[in-house]
Amino acid sequence: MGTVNDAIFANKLGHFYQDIAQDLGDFVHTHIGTLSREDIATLSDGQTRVINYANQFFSLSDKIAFEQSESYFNGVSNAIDSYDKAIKEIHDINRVIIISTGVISLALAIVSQNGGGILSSVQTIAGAVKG
Amino acid sequence: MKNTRLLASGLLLLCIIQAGCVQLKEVHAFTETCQTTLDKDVQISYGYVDYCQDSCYIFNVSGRQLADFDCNCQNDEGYDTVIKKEYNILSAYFCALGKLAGTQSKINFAPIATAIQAGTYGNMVVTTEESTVVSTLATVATDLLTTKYKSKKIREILVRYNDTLAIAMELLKLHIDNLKSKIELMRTKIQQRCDLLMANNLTDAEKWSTVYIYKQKRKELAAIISSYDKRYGSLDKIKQGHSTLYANVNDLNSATLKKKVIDLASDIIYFNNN
Repeated sequence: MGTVNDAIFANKLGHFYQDIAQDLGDFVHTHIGTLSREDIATLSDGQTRVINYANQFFSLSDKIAFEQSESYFNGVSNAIDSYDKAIKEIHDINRVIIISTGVISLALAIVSQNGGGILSSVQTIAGAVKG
Repeated sequence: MKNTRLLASGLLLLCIIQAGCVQLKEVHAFTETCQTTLDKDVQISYGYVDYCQDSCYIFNVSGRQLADFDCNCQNDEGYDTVIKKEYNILSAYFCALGKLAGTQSKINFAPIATAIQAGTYGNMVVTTEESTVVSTLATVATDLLTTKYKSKKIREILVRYNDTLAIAMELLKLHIDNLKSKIELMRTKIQQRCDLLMANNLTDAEKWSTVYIYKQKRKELAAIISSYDKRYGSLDKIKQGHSTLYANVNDLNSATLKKKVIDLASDIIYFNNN
């Protein structure tokens, strides 16, 4: 990928994490009256980390930092499109927590360019999405 | 006989001159709309410095004293300057295209006096590629605005610089979208913090204050985000218009092209007025 495409890809990742953060926030916003304090704390902590990664990806896009990134991102692009749709339809708190943990691990793997970590995180999220 | 030949030669010469200076009114209308829009959008009131000032307290959950929320946004001023320069250079480029389209445009030389240098500006790194494409457009604009070229030169310019302009526009769109998205993330964070505060057994007065601040800040950010959507939409249409001119470079007078560029100009004006 050229630098412009790398920047576009980083921007796309940022949007994915942004959508997940909004989904988690909306979940808490809607169910806050029925969630336990522990669940609220877990989800809010996860949301904060997802927001931080989204910010990080948008900054990376500005920096156009993802040079020579193609080998690390194969497979991520297609997978992330389906996750956001799935999380909107899930109402089981445990699955939401597994997905949020999975996307945080995925972000860490992407930032550190850890191919194995990306693969295992994608599988964890896919498992939770399927239920 | 000699006079007839002279007359015919004169007429032919006039035709050639006319062909070289033909006015492309619709193309000019489009380039002028682009120039006006870019000049307007550069004046946006909320930039990286404003984002820095807001984000440094909205994302700070551990601060205890007022001093913990002070922030240094000096670097972000450089970022805003780069974005402004890119807008100004693109505006100058469309001004120059307008000049070639055969009608005199309002020319502002000031913006293109300085090009973009590669380097670090706050959070943004201007890469050599970005610096090169923007500086190339600045050079082209300066050349076209200061030299008496014929209108047929527009074809050469569209062909030679279409890719350069496309990259420059794509990078600027990305910068606009990245900042807009960060502002949206701030809005998400405000919702999270207010949800958590409201769940903490507040008094009625505290709840009212929380709701008031939440609603006011959300409204303020919604207006800013909307202005960024317009900016992004305009850039997208301008890029699309330039590609359309490039695709029809051998027939800039065709009725189809005229309709397309006028429609695009109308879309850009619509973005700005709604």
